[in-house]
Amino acid sequence: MVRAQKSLCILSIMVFVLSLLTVSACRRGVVKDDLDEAAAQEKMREDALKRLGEEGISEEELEAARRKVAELADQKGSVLSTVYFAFDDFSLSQEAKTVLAQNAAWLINNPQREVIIEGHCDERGNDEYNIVLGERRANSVKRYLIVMGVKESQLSTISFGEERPAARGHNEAAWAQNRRAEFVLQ
Amino acid sequence: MNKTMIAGTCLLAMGLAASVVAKVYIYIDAPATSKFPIAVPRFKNMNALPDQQGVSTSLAQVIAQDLELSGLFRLVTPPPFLENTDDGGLTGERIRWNEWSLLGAEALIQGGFFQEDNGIRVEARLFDVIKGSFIAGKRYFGKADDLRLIGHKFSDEVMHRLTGQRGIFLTKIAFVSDRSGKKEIYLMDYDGHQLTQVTDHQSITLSPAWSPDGKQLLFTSYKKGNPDVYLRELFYGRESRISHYSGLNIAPEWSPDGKKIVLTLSEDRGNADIYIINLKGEKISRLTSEWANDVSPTWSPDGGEIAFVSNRSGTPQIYTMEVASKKVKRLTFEGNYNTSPAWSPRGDRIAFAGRREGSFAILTVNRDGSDLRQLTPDGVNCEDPSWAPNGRYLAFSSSRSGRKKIYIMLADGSGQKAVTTGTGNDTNPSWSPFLDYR
Repeated sequence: MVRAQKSLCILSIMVFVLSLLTVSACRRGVVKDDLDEAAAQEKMREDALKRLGEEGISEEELEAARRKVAELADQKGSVLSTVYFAFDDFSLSQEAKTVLAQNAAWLINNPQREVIIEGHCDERGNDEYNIVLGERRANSVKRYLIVMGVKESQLSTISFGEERPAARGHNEAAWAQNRRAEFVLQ
Repeated sequence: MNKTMIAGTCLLAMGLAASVVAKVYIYIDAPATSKFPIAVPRFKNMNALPDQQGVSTSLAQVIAQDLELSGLFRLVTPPPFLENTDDGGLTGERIRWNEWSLLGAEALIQGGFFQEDNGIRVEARLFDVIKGSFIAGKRYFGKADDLRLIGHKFSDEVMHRLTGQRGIFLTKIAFVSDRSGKKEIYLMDYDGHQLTQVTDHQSITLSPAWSPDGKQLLFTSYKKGNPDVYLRELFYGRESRISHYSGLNIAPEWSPDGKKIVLTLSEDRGNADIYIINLKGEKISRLTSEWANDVSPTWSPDGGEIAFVSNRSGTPQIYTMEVASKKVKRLTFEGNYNTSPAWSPRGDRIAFAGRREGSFAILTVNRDGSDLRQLTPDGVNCEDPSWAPNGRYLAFSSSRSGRKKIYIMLADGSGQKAVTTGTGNDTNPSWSPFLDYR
């Protein structure tokens, strides 16, 4: 069962890469560059898959999420929503994954649009450590979106650590608002 | 204790009164039994011009405050009849030794100033009250706004003469403040005076770090969008962006020999790791390649080791690494959030901020992990410790009275005192090395 899903998954990646190759090669006609780009994208995907695996997200779960993205991709006009994290944590909650599925669908539907994923933290703790944590958050999100099928070239990341809180205030309500990854369209 | 010491060397010292000092009045590293009593009366106005700017009082205040902050002295308050400011002389013959002695003073500072057309001339002397003898004297000339500098210079002289060790009264503290609305780097004297704004990036500027010669600062800035490391020459105001690899370029610290920088980069697939680069920003070596977050490195004073923060065990903890072998040892085991290590210039202890009972406290620990001591109390947030160059004091930031302010304290946690004021948040203090050029 697991094995079958695994091969299905690999197959779907291969189909995806092949279609990517064909589409881009036809569009621009500069085969070599596009091959490189596709190879880079695939490498990024593999890396992202591996890392998400290490973070405890199973391939089955990812496959289900990808189907969700495909469904969502048919509905136009969704927006890029912010995702939230627990204290000193950059793993994606179920809620965050649901939000990211919608975001992925939008980005796949709008392949010409580029977005900066901003990682943020609450004010507690060391500010240098929080810059690193914010980057982890942004990278978790980026990897997830890539695995969902978003082009790597659409995505860039930056961390602001605890420097740009969304909510003022020094309580859990404000902190929960501030531990986030935000999407800024370019 | 001090009286006996002085009496014991009395005969010898008589003949050496004005020569190079060998006698130590205060043993800094001895367990503190009592503070050394010293009197710092107002400085005398030596010419007939009225003292409109209160020079007389401010010079004495600067010195008195320095000595008090050092934690080694007890200030003896002189009664008005001993603080006579118009008897003209500063020499030993005019000093009423018995009166000072009865007040308990063992040392006495006598100073005077002359107001001149183009500035002010200051003369200051240090006397041994018990022996009734001269220890040291200095003359200074400066503009009216150099008064604090002159006071600090004489405090350094007093410190050196009485303890045999160098004072830190001429050092500065660099820090980050959002008082302008954006986080910028500021400089001030160690006591909070002479505040100047260093950067005007209108962005986010963080983590100032001094060069060993005290003439340059490294810091992180988002000026060009990404967190990059900048180097600023303080005298010329020249600034260059020296590390701008993709991803994070943060938490720089100068090596003790001034030739290298240790910092955190994340260009390798977003892995925050510790690297050594040269002053041109070229990578020399990569010290960590863990999947975990490695950040906030600080050098040991001999440059052989670094301490840094890593969450490789699951929570942020302090680790040390021998730079040559890259051998890593975990330093902290108590608490689940220990960050911002600072290696003492004496080499023996490492200060850090640790979460204790829900708030952050400043702690110190031996370099082998033994003898952990908490210096600030539970329940008040204190972060970002930075050592004074003599290893006797620490600066830190604390929000204990609302907004974050810079505080200083003795290395045993005593004498905690806010040195910044105002409306902004002041964080990331970085205590300068000894500033030979001041």
